[in-house]
Amino acid sequence: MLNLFQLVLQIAVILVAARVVGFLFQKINQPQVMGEMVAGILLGPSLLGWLAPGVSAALFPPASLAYLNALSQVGLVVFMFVVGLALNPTELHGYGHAAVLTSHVSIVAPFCLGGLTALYLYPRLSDDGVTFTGFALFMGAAMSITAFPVLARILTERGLVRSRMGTLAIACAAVDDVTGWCILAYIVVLVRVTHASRPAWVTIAGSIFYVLVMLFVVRRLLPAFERAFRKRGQLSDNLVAAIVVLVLVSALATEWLGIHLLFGAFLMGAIMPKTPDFVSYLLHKFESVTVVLLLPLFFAFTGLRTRIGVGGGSAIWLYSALVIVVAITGKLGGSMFAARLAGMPWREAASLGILMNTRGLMELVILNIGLDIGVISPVMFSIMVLMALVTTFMTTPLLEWVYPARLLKAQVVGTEKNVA
Amino acid sequence: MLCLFGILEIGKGITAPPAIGGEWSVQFDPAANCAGAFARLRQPALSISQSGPGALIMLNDGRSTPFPATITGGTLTAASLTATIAGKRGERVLEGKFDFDGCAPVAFRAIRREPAKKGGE
Repeated sequence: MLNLFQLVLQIAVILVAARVVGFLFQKINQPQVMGEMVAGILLGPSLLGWLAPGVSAALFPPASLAYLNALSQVGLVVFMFVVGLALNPTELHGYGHAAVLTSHVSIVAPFCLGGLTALYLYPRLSDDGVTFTGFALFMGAAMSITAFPVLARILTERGLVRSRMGTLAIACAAVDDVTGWCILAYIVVLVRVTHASRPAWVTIAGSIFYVLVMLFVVRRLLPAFERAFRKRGQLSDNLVAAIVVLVLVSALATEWLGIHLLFGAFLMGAIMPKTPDFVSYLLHKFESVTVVLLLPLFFAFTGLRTRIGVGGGSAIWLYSALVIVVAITGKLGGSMFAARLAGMPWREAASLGILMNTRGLMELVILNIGLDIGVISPVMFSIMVLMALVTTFMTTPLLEWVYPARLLKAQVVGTEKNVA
Repeated sequence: MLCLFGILEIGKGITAPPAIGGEWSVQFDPAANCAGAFARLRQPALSISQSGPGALIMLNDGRSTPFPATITGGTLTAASLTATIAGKRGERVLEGKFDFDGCAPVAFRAIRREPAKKGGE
């Protein structure tokens, strides 16, 4: 039964922890979201459960987590809509060879390295309830993801959005995100159809039908929202509610098809009209509650499932180190060499690689899906969460080291002069 | 794509430990002289969380006593439990002996109630 007092107390504790740790991380030049992710881990068995098991058990008893999970999933649905909304296909135009080559290599290199690592980790961290194919494809997808929202935030905080490297990084991350989600959708279908009562062809044909309806029917109706926005300079509450309902219906459709709630929400955002003022209005409407209230709940729920350093022995640290090295080599190294091959100077190519290596929140979303469908074990989940934290944490200091702020400023000024 | 197909082909030859994660209902030998100890257990008596050959077994004795275990081949071994893992993936059965508080080892048979959600079986 729902214990309302406990749930509200949990939310309050999570929000305070997220804001405090987020603030502290900002003091060391890390994005706020990095601190919020760490706050979630600190509230779980990795720290609070280890230091004060009694407090942890009283605050987060296992029976109460279903409600926290439900709230965080609602938050994620809205967040994925926001991520899709922020994606703009026109950002890909004009970057030609460098964007195409870098984005492709930044997916293929970590994907293949992830698959190779799976050969070693499958007998050590998985079981025969998961096929090697499912495990390897998931490892590849999890290694190749880039956190588009965190990347955009880092670029904004450093004033890099208008730099050549910044715009290229956003374009490549957008391609990576879309590709990564398509691959993950395929994996989820692959895994779920073997367990679902309905035949595989229903899921596959249904998914194709759903995507076609979204692209060729729903997408053509959505400009009506934009026209209403232009007429009044804002959307009425009824129209905002209509958008929310569309997001939920799309999410439900993909969940019913056996893909996942989040794909529907993401696609709904991706096909929304992309006029900058309309997008920025919707982002403003949806982002505050999601980012301030609901995402910290997701981080906390993730943290409660993560057991860094708890059990598993010293081999776990070896596997963690291996996963982190492979993730960095594939993503950072792959993107850097591809950008260099496409003609970028070494310093910019390295910076692009560092930015693409940011996995952050999107990685946590994917890992939670992997744990939910059982394609990764709890220990593998913890290892991958650690990798997501390390690769996100290293972005800002590494970027500052490779491409100091004064040089970046000069490049942005140069780019603006060229545009003028 | 070639690289990926190569990896997937090689991977088909790799075997992982048997899946035992999930909730287990345990039947003890009724002849065993430890009725008091069994009475404390509620079904499903075992909850197993697995990662490769490592597992964490939680005993549903009101205190959720955890104990780490290892899978070697078809055998599950923990400080107070030894069992063979039998049956196909969807119908796993554990059969072995359990060292209960102050009792002689008791024979048991456990049937998986709710397999941990798994992908790609």
